[in-house]
Amino acid sequence: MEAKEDHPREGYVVFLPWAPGSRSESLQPFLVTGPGSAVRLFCPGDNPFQNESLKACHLHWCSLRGQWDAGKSLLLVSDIRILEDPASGRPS
Amino acid sequence: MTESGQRFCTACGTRLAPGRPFCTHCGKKLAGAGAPAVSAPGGNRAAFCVTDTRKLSRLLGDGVHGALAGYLDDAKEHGVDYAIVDLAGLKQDYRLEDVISFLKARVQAHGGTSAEGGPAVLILGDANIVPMAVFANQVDGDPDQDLDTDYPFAALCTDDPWAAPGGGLGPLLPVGRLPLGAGFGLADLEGYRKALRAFATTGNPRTLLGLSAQAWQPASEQVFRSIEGEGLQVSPPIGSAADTEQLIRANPDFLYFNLHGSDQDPGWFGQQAADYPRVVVPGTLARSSRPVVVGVEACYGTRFQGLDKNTSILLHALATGCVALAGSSRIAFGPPSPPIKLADVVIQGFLQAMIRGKPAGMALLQGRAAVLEDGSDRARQRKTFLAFNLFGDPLAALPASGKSAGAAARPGPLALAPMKLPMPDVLGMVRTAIAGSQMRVKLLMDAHVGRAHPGLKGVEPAFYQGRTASGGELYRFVYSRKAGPLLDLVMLDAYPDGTLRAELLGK
Repeated sequence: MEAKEDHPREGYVVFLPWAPGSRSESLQPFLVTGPGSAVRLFCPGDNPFQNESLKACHLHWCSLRGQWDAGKSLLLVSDIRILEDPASGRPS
Repeated sequence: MTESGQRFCTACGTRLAPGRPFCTHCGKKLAGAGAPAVSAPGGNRAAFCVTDTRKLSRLLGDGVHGALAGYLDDAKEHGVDYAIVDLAGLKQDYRLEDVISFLKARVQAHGGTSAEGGPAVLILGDANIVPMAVFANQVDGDPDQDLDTDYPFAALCTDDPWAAPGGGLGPLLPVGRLPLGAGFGLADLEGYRKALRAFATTGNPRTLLGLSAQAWQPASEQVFRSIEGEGLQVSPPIGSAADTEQLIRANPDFLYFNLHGSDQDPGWFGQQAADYPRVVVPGTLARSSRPVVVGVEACYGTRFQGLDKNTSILLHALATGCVALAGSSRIAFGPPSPPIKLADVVIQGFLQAMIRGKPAGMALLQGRAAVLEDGSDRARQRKTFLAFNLFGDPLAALPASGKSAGAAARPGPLALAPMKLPMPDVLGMVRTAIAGSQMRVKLLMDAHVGRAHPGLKGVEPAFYQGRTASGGELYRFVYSRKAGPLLDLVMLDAYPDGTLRAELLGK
């Protein structure tokens, strides 16, 4: 495992199409932190295709902590919170 | 020869096993052995077992040598003489290039190949014992940065396969890996050995189980029907590993899975819309009381590195009754409905060939060759070709008595042919075994025959070598199968670059 402790990050959590045309084609959760900057997320213990723990975060501005797995280019989420959306000023 | 009658290898000093025509430690052919590597006395086939006894002993203890000897003795009993290519003979920090050069020298020293498709290579060790190649992934838009493959052991070269001229990915040798190491120990190897023994002696194994994600049912149906499967199961309604275990308890011999797989979870998953039930987990396949052959299309279907039997379906299966598993080390591609492509095609080819009695390594080569002809995107073809590997003994095969009725219809003697072929302008055609790069041409011809003459699909051709009237090298492949009182026959003449020169038909 190439995972290591990571600093808290903030951004929009968005479910995006993953590997279309493959035998793992699905919607996968990403943390979008800027233009062209997104990392794939996974909560250990979830069904990797249903991502139960992250579903409620879809399209919300979130703060999260986790470990970055460089080998899989994946952030293993240990804690996630939905915050006020900085774009609308409303609770997201 | 010593006073006690013991013989020792002049190259490495190892005591020689009686009756073997080469040193089982370094592979040196013995003076007077006479027969080429492929035809050891008694009709045994030669093959190579690449391992590192030094690393294995350090990890698993001295029992390694006994376990290895036992495995080789079993193989010999079933007609295979494995020569050990022991990487302990290399400098300690060897690279994959060193391993392949070492193996290549042993193969060339033997100089032989077999009519079954070249000497097989069994890799005994996980990627920490015998390195696996890692090539950068060049498929646009594919999340995988790289992919693991044992392809260099088949090609006997470590050149970047993405740079192969003309798309040529011609495999040469049948290869399979038994991942002996931290996650698959000596007791697991013993479990595998037992299953292999049972498979080699089992009677009439022909039952199939197919399980597909519902979202891909149409494509899976086509694959499953083509291997003579009936009653494809789909998930959902198959909704859990317990459901699948019930199906496995019926003791199918061949298992076909077209399911989702992940790099985050050991399981394989069905799918209907947003519902992805986990239907296979490590241990599910162990519910069969008979040895099984598995072909799986799932992404990461063969993940095992850094894992153990509790976290890898592959490792658990090999320890508990699976004799051969073909699957992908990375994301695998395939359509939801026909025409089938990529992962569908390689697994279809693998299972089809195994059911017809081909050894597992050769069966995967057939699946790989078919992928290169499936008409899909070239980069994805190459990724599929490389990422689908075989785990298990490459010579694992159904016993002759267990082959299906179709497989039993092997090519009859040409003398029975009620036909006359015109003689082409060729000189000195001599029947021989297929060697080295000729295997690539043979696979191209197999693919052509499979497309143009479906009735001869799966038939092993007789091979002849000769020259054209102008002196160029020429190969001839004769495919034949008895059809009632007649003989279906196709004769293909090809140049060494794989170009078809002539095609003659007979009935």
